[in-house]
Amino acid sequence: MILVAGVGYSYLRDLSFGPRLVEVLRTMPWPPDVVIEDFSYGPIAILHWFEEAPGRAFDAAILFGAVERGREPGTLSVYRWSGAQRAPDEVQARVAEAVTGVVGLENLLVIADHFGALPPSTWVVELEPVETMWGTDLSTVGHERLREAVDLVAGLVDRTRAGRAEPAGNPTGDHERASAVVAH
Amino acid sequence: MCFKNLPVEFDAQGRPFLKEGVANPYATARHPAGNGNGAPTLTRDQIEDLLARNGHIKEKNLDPVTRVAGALAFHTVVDLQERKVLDTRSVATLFRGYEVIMMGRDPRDAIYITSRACGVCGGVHSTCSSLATEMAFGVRPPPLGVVLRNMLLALEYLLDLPLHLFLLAGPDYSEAIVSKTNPELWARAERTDAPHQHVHGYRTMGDLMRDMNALTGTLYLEALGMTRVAKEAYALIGAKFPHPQTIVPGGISATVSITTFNEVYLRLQQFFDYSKKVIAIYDDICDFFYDANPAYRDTGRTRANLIDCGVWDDPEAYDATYENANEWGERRWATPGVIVDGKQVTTKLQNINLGLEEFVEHSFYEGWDGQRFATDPVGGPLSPHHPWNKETKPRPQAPNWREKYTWATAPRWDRQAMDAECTARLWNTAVARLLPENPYMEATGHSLKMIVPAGRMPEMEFEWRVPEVWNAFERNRGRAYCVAYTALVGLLIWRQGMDLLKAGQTATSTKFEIPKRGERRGVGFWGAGRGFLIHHVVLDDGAVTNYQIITPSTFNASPRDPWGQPGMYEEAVLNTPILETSVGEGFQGIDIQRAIRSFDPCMPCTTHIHTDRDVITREVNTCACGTDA
Repeated sequence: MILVAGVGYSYLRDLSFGPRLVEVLRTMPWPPDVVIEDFSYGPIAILHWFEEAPGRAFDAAILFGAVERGREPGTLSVYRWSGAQRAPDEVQARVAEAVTGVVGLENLLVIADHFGALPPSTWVVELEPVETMWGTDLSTVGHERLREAVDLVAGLVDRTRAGRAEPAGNPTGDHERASAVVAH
Repeated sequence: MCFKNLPVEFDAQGRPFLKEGVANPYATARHPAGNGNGAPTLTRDQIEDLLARNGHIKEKNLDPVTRVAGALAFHTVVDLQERKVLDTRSVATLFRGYEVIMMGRDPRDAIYITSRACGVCGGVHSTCSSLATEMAFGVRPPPLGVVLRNMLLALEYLLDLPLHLFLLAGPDYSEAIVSKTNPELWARAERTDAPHQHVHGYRTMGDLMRDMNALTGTLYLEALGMTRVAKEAYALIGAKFPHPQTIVPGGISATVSITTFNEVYLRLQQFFDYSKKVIAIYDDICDFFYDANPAYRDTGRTRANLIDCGVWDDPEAYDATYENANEWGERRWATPGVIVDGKQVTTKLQNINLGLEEFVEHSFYEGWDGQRFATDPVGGPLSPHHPWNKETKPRPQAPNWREKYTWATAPRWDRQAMDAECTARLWNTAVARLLPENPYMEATGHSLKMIVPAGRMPEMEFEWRVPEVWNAFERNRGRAYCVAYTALVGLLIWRQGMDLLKAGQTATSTKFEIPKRGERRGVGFWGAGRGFLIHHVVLDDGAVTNYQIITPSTFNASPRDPWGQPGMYEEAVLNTPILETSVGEGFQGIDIQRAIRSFDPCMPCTTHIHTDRDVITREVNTCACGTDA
């Protein structure tokens, strides 16, 4: 089973990349072992979801959303998650944020990883947002990246189902050094 | 006498009136009488001088204060030689914008918009908003609608309380923290037997405190799980959490059945045993620290000024009118009230309302002129600083400790700072002795006795007693008892709901129309898990023309008021002795942090999260270190 899920707040232009991509992906046909989910809610609730059925059933996950990491705006990164390796204080801070209402891809990854809840193979697709103001629509660049991300996710699903999800590059969790696919 | 400082007196029938012969009765020129803050305060000039002349006097800035909801910074000046705090400033670093967003809107929007004020307790804002709007509309919900709202509230508290006790404040008392900040205390914990081992199962205090460690401690992980249990039950009625979809003016839009109630009960009953354990744990934690060093009684100490609107309406008494608010308020499962210097001065919701004022002298807002309402809807005198008269005029600027330094405002009741946290619920109920007849709880006038039913653990009796000193430890202990109190109220509400269903009273809401002409006012008297909550609304020709929210953290995080009196966080920290022994490079400021966290700060509720330009979706730190003196 392959989980495809987006994370983000609504109506924040490119910061809403995750839920917008979910909307698009849900209009497409997918094999029966692929589940599309909107994870735009509390990371602790998602952790609990992962820990029980149907969350435990997934062998692989593709998680996506907008994350501000100081990259060139519009950068679309994809990397295989290989563990957060965060200090306990930072994980604790993420949990404190999560239980007090913060929704975010980074929080979800760090928390779910800490508790060992992520599927064995987890891929992350991130957009470095261009526009972060109020608004219902993505930026022009955001729209372009949305289209690219659709193909990217579809390709990852195909490769995962074929058992060859390892990219040609270095399958590292270090998104800043070794993105397997970068579009800009 | 209810009011000591406001120019309000009462006639023989108990009706309030404006004292005669007082020129400019609500002017702020006169310093409130008997309104000392219980903590020594120095002028900023004196502080500056001390900092310049003494190497052992240091500024300690906590920015952000971690393990709280939202963006709070806290500035202190600490005398490390005398081990005391000389100056404090509580800084809400983000603007509160919901009042501005609400202007001109359809009043029904308030339920959904104000819910977003908080990611923890959105539901309480939804319901508080429905109370305010249904009062303005003149619609009374059916009994089952009231019961369901009550149940949602209890479930939200059962989420919020474990979150505070074990995920946010709890780690302050854990092995991981205490072994660093006070190694001698940790050594003592390892050799001290835990008095309530027979309830919570921990042989020594060290065992207990080890399980309070963040991320790895069993109590921490268990609390994460218990928040889920409460959320699941909440969603059965509210449809989702933290922003419910079924709250409407005049009740609840959900259709429920006995099956719904049974599914809620399956989750609610898990809190009976849990509450027994939580009380035993916090009784042991408090007593261990007090025994180890009596000076811990001063950690977070403030005067016992507490305010609460009461919660959980009697479905037969509640009629959504301001006129009868005193009567239906006193029928609540938690009695409304104000306590000043340890004495309860009122249990009347109208008096609570009349005493409210909000000041902005040290906040990033402009003041306002004029006074639209001289009285409340029944003729009681209102201050021009009352929420119904308030205007929200944000004016961002650089912080300055002498002038404006925070986005939080300074609410006061009878011109006094109030602790608005949730033990006020226990305290007012315990001393008022107005608790409706029931088989589980008894208000004695100085305590609240509770009989918690058997689960896997046997039935147990607990008694929360009015504390001798009001401090950080007692705030946490009070919250622990509130778990049992809330679960028992939940059980009573559940029984009321089942009785209504069996009697065929299945209506959950009353049809309403928005009054399209004229002026209407409403107020929602309610409470968050953290404590006091009130929404004020004014409608003109069917649209919102004023909307004001005061939360527990608005009160608690408030800055100085026009008379220089500190807010509650500020006062609590001023009274806090530095008992941490890791003074020097390793100084953590744990005593200060314990004082602040004991209030369960919620800054999204206090300041909300909106700026003129964009929305903040994560915590943003605005360092106050460089603030102009």
